Amino acid sequence: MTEHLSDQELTDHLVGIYLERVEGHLGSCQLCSNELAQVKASIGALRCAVRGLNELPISSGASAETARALPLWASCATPGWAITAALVLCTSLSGVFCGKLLLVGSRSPDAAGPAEVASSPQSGIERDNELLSRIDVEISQSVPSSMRPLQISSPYR
Amino acid sequence: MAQTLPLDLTLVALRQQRIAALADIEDLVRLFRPAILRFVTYSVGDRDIAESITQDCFLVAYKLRNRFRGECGLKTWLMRIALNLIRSHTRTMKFRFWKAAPRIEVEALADSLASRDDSPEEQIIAKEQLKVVRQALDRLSPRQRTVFLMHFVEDLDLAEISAATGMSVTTVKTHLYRAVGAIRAKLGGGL
Repeated sequence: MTEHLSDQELTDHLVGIYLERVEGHLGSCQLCSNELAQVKASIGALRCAVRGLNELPISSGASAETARALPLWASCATPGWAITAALVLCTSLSGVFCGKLLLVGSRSPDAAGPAEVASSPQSGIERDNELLSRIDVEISQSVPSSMRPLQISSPYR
Repeated sequence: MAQTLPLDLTLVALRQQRIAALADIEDLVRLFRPAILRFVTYSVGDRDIAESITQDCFLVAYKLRNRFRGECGLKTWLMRIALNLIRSHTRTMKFRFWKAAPRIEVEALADSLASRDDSPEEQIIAKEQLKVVRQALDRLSPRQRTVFLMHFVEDLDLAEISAATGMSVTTVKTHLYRAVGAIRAKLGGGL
């Protein structure tokens, strides 16, 4: 009987190098055939297990990947009610702020605010009258000359 | 000379095909991510770190795509990048190659065994076999384990492993002999 297979010969067979002596020996030696089968089964088990690693659920890996894709603010674990409250607060504050801006923008330098009118009605009416008369003047000045009443100023007359 | 010309043309065409395949990064990820991920996962022993390294691997591949000459297969090239990234992590001492603290346990590996249709007895046997081979691999050097994994799990041939690791084919074979010898000894062989 020839010598049993060495590590090198066994490995050669496993990596697909089939030597005549090795194949002949495997055909006649039950011990080496069984051992080869055992090694193959063990490597096969490892192969299946490692290949199955991809099928394992990802715990934090997926969340980390998702977190990288999201902006910083979105990755924070903020409760829904807090976001809603923040939105309501922002909306109300911006409403108040815009309202104030509109009031300031529409107010003329001479015009009094509603609070001032309420506190002194007389002075308010006077100011309104003054404003109206100023507007009359401005309007009358802006009338084109062709629309103004004809004047007797022609030199041909 | 006239006989070698078609072979040269075939090689050139193959290289061009490989380079062209690299242009579509989405396809590249879809095709090779599973292999790279499991190789890195088993190498570093931590799924989260493996995910990160795998992502970096494809990022590096995309950045260096102009340097790829198509002289080896895409999988081999990606394996080489992944291996360098693993070594880089090892050098920073943040992670220890193969010895990372939250390493993948035998039980976790056993759970991933694709033996759902096996009988309970067969599953127990498979788990025992896995345990033995895992213990044998634990005693190997990182290079021997890498070579073993590349060949027996990722189906790279000796030349591809040589290209991916930078070792000669003879060295690759020697590492494989030792790895198989260690498994054989653990199984009670060593005749």
